[in-house]
Amino acid sequence: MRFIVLRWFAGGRLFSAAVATVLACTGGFAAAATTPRYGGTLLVELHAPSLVLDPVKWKIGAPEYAASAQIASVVFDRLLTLDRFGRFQPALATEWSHDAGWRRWQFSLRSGVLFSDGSPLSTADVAGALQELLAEGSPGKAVVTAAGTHVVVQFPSAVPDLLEQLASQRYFIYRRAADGALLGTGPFFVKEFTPAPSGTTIARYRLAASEHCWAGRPFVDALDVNVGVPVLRQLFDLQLGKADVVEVSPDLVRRAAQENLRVWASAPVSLYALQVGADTASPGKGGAAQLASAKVGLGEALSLALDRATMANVLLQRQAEPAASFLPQWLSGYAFIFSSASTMGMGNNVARAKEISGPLFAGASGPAVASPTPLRLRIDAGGDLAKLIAERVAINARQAGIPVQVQPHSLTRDASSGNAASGEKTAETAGLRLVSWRYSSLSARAELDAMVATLQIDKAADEKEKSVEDAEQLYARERRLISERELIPLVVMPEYIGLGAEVRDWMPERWAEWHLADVWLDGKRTAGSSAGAQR
Amino acid sequence: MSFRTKLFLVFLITVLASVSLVAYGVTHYTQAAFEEMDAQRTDALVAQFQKEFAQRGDEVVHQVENIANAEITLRMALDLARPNADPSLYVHDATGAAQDHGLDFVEFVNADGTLISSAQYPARVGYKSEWVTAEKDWKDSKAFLKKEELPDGVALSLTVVRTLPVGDKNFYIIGGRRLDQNFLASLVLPAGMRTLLYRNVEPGFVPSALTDAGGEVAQADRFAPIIERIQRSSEPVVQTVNWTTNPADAETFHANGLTGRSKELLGVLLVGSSRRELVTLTTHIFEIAGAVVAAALLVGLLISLWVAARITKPVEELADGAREVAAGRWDTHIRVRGSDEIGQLAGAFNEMTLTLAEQKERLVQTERVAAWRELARRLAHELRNPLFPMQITVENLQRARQLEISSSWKFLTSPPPHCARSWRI
Repeated sequence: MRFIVLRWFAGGRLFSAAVATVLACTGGFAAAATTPRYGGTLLVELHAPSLVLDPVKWKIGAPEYAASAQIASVVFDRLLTLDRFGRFQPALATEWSHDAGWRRWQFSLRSGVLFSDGSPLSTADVAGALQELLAEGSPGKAVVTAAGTHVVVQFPSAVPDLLEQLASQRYFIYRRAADGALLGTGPFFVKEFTPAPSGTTIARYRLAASEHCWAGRPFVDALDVNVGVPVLRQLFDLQLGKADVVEVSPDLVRRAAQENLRVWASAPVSLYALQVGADTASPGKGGAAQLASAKVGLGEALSLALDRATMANVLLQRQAEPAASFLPQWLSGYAFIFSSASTMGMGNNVARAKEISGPLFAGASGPAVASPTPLRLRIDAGGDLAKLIAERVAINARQAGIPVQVQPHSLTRDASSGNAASGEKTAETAGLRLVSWRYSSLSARAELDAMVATLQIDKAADEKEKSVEDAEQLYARERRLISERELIPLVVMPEYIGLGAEVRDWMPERWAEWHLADVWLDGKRTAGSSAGAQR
Repeated sequence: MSFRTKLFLVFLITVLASVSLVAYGVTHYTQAAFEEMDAQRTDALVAQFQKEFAQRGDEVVHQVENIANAEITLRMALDLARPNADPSLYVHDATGAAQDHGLDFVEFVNADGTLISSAQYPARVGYKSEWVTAEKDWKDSKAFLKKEELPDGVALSLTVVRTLPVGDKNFYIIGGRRLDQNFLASLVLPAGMRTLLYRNVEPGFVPSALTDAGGEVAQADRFAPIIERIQRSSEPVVQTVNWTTNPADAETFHANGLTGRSKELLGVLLVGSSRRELVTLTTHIFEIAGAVVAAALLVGLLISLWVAARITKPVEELADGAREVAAGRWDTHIRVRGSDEIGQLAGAFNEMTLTLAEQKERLVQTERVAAWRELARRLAHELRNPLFPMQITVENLQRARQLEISSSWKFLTSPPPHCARSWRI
């Protein structure tokens, strides 16, 4: 059995606190601008209409839960974290090990950890939370048991990337109260929720600093999180000093820069892709083989028709990157191979696209695809950006002789809800669909599996084709998925965060995991507040 | 049928016919006047539309020139004229320009026709707009109607193009205002009229392309014949649409084609005029005419009765007089009323009966004389009949005396005197 044992007695926040204490004791007023201060309320504005702090309810890959995950990360802790150098750092777990087959994992819990209500964290709490979260997770049917100060996770098959998964996604540790409310061990806890007044969309969560957080008290006294704030208003609020941390839409990044606002960009964390559904082929015009062939042909024509470079560099003003693969370079490590357009037929070649699409839309002479009526392109995500990309896809497709009509998000949502209710149609059978995918896992394999499962692609593959044990197999699988063109990657986009002038020590991970507990506020807003609070 | 009835009916029919003729004439001329007024209103509305169209065009020209003359546009044009310029910097500029200048459509096009920025269809950036570069001189060009492709369909735009010369190249600014229901809503319409706009974006009639000031048009399919006629001939069309069986619900539509720069049919303006006012007016006239006819009928009835009675009474008296004459009362005399033909007839009748009476008296006298003569003749005859045997007897006696006793029969030699006298009778 191979063991990995890592010990880490001070988290990043603890270290920062120590530095702050030392600096404060030295009384170096000249260094006040760089000396962390306690106190103040950090004002955060989010576009999401509400927060869902129960990780079990999150849909993997859904962008609408990204904001919830950011706030959840200050309420709950994970067993371990990954630092910016790719090293696992202990959090609630101080030690971990696994057997030779990567099936049995054992975690030793940190002692003296308290929930926000003051009750101690137990191995049963950890086991309960993990059991809930792993029940439907990609690792398979795990059995989580509490054994003394250890928690043991047993998988039916090898899960070599469990640590990457537990350090990301929704694998937070919590205790579910009898009324369904969740308690966390994080640096903040939800103190108050103010629903949106009638006529507005903005609701407010007030999170107070937890005085007995195992990693130490956060610098700011509270987080005021306003949700449902339009992106443009967030920018105005940032300019006016009414907000400290806001989301900046990619199309507003240049504007923010022109206004001399601080904007932080993550690594690409959102993928926009085009899913070619099954009903783009007309069932009355041919057999299954012909339909499959026609669908591949349509996918190929669309892939060649799409001008990703213009999409990313002109339309999205260089705030996005053309995507040739499903997983980004920072996650997979091999995405640059797909960037060579000629290898995968991902380059913009309208003439070739027309050649392919011509017979498909020629009616009787074509094999099977589509009626003369335009293909409907549904948009999964709301917002102007998704609409803009979808419209560009439609224009590119029309240039290649493929009639495509964009279906607004509201209609898509209605249709989706209707379909979900009736259970008649799945995502796969929905014509063209603009998919917005938010990377949430630090495991490339888990991310790809989640994408495949959620988007219901690669159904024809057998278990052998799906099984991935190393990076080479993962690359082969992704390459096969790309060549099948059920899902055509378009662009990947970073997350942009606007920061107020008083925000200090904003040091998130490059995969867009914020560390709000490390942030402190400089300036008058901290004066008179709990500046004397000690960690 | 009596003369009086005939006369009464003739009067009555004459009155009815006269009133009906007048009512018809009034209705007809009223309808004609209304139609003319309606046509004038429609012409005025079309003229107003054209005026608004021209005015909006001037406004768009003004706004587009403002954009072209703005410093930010000049900077953009200069920057994009440089080699390896980054057009992505200006992707959203058209949106800002459209908002600032109150235009629905703004696009910036580079010298080679590449779309740099589009307010109405941002996703189209990078594509060529060759129709802009095909025209050599856009200076002083007026606003024209253009089919504008949008993400959610096609719209009609009142478009203006201006150029910004940068060195030997041109930078194009295209601005436009949507021609839609808001434009229709801005037109001031008389009561009972409405305007509709059809966007001729596809061959044949597309119901969803028809809009009025309120948005979608109910029963749009009913306009298909009008639109299809215009699509075939491009000539104005006037047609009445009956929405229900009630003629008051009908509308008359005057349809005029709206063409683009190449005289292609891009839209159709329909000016609808409700028939309700006309139908109400006509109904009102008919009601009044009905009341007048009824009154005329009543009055005509009374007058006809009086007139007929007045005319026929002398005639009836004449007829009665004639019947009395026929009955033998030759001295019948009727009253003479006036000196007209009937009066003269009555006088002549009276003269006739007088003459007849005199002739009758004379005839009676004559007959009486004749009767006496007959009586005398018969009396003489009656007297002669017994005297003749007596004379025979006397003569026989005389002859007997002469023969046998001359003296004893002396007295018999001459007949008694009374016998001779009777004989002479």
